[in-house]
Amino acid sequence: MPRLVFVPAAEAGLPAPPSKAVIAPKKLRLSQILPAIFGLWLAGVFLILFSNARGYIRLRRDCRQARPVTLEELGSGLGLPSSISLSLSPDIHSPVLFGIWNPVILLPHDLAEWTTAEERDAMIAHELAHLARRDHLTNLLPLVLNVIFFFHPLVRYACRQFCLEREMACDDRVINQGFDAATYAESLVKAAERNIKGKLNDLASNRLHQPAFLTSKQALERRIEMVLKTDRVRVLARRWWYLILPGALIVAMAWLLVPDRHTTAQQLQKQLDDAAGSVKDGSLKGVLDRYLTDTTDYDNLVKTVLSTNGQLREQALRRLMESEREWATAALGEIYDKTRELALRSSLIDYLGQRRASSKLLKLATSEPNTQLRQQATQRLLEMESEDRSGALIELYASVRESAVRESIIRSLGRRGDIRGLALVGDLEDNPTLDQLNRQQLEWMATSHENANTRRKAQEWLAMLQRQALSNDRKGQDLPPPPPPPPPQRAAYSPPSLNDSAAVAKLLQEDPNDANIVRAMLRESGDAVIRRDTTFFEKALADDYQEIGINGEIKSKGQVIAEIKHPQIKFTRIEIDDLRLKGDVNSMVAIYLGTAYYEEDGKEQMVRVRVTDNLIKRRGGWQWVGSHVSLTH
Amino acid sequence: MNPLTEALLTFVGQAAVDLLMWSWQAFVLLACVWAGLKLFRVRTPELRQHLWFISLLAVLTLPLWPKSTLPQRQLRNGAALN
Repeated sequence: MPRLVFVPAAEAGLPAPPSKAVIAPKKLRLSQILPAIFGLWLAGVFLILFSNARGYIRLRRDCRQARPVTLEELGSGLGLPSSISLSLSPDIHSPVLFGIWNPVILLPHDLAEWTTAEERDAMIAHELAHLARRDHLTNLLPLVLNVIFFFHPLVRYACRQFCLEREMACDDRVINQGFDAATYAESLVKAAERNIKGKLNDLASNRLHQPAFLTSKQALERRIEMVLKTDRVRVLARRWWYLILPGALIVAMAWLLVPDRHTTAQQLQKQLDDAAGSVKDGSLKGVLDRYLTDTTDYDNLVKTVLSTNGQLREQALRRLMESEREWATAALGEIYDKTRELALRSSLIDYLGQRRASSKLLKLATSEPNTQLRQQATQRLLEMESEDRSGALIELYASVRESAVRESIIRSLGRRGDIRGLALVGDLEDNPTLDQLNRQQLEWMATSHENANTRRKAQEWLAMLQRQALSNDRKGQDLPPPPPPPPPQRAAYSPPSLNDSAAVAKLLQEDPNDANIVRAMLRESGDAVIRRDTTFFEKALADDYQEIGINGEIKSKGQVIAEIKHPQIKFTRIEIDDLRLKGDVNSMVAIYLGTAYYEEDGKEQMVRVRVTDNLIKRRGGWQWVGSHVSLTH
Repeated sequence: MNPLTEALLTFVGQAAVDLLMWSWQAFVLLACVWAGLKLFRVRTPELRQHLWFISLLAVLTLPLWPKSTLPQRQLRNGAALN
């Protein structure tokens, strides 16, 4: 068996092959094929049109040259409608109905020589049946379709069937008029013979054109068989309602075949238009690529999260979380609506919170049947920092009745300095306790808010409230006593210091509760500062983390991380003493004494600070959200 | 390639796609009609001719038909939520 052995050209002593660019076959692209297809089709259409036009012109000429004749001259006893005329032509070989507006029955000039009177009558009756059925008009339909779909076998077959059925329907009419079936069949055969002879003569004289009376042997056989079949009931479907059901089915099927996105080209164009409209910069191709990728990604990621478990699902969720595209938020919402898994839903609420999907969170906070998830959504909404959050909080306030939730909303609005929000929820509130809390927030803002403008507005608002109270004669009314303070949290066990990393690690290993996790994180933060390990802080600090430094300056997460990388300051040791932890499973406050030893410009230095850290648990992990650092004296 | 040629090529390409789509639709529709006629054995030539007529008319007018409103997923965006 011969084998093909590939030997490098150099080894085989052959000249080196030409570069890939030279020998690579040129790939045909769709953009090149489609115009070629259209060009071929157009050429075919012109060819068919030319052929049809030629036949029509010849037939029209034959018609003009034909000699008008009456039925009496032909010895026929039939009646002829006034709208039609008869003519004898030497150029046609079998009877034919010609014309649309002024139809003419053209007969061979020697018809009387090869037919009997009864056969002639049957032939003329056949043509009159065409006229009565308006076949000269309906014949335009297959004519047009044959031009457009000259390449389409099924359309051509359907057109042939249409014509055959038309002829057979006329045959049935002729027989129903009382003509003898055998005589009529004889006339059909004679006409066919004349046709064939005529065709041969036309071929010989190079003037082939043939009006369609009979088209093929099979068609003739079928027609004669049907004509001679005496046991057949020649029922004519004159009642139009026979057509309702099959016609409706055909229409329904055709309707289903017309899709919303009509053609690939139109679909593509629409996508291009959409993409171009939505993005003003960037190349259109790039935009379109992104657009199509987004759509595919959306479907794939949603499907993956809903239909898989484990690592694959986590990857898909992570990708959605990390995506900068807006649709990722919508995808998370869709997954939430479709899944029944509580754990997944819980994670999704966290993700939605991170992506600031206030609208979806508001919906969940008000209408989620599961209490735990509802509370979680409320919590995320309260934690969220975005421009449109106030509106969502006010809507939430109006939707919920729980005092605890309302209290949280008031406090949250107060922290943000949202006077308008406080005013709105104040109007909604009937509970005197919450009303008082609202007022307290305003008072705090009027006196202590860092923004002077906010302070002034709060003072104005309070003054207005006071005036309203006076006008309502409510001055001096005793406010209800403030709610009792919550029971003090049991102080978590705190070791005296966190200066031994191994001891803290052991503590966490023995009892991995939230307090020990926070302790471990505090210790690790000190070690990470010494190592200049910014990765730890990237994860451990919340994106909205803020630190108030020893001089009262406010630092963001990025600024804090930048300080850790400061080239001129090198921390050598960080001690954490006098640690006190307060909080619960979701939030924790850590107060401690921090001592940092560092080298600055080669000099050893030390600083001791009192630190208050705020940590909250997000998606099962703890993160710093704020710190306050002050020098100790 | 000048803009006129480019526009012409785009038009021709789209026309070819439309023609192919139309052919495919015609094929499915006529195949179903043919199968229906075979299955139900319609005996009257006139009725058969009428059914072919409706089918051919449907084929001819297919490009003019309004687009069906079968449910299609709209492209989602974040604005729906936020």
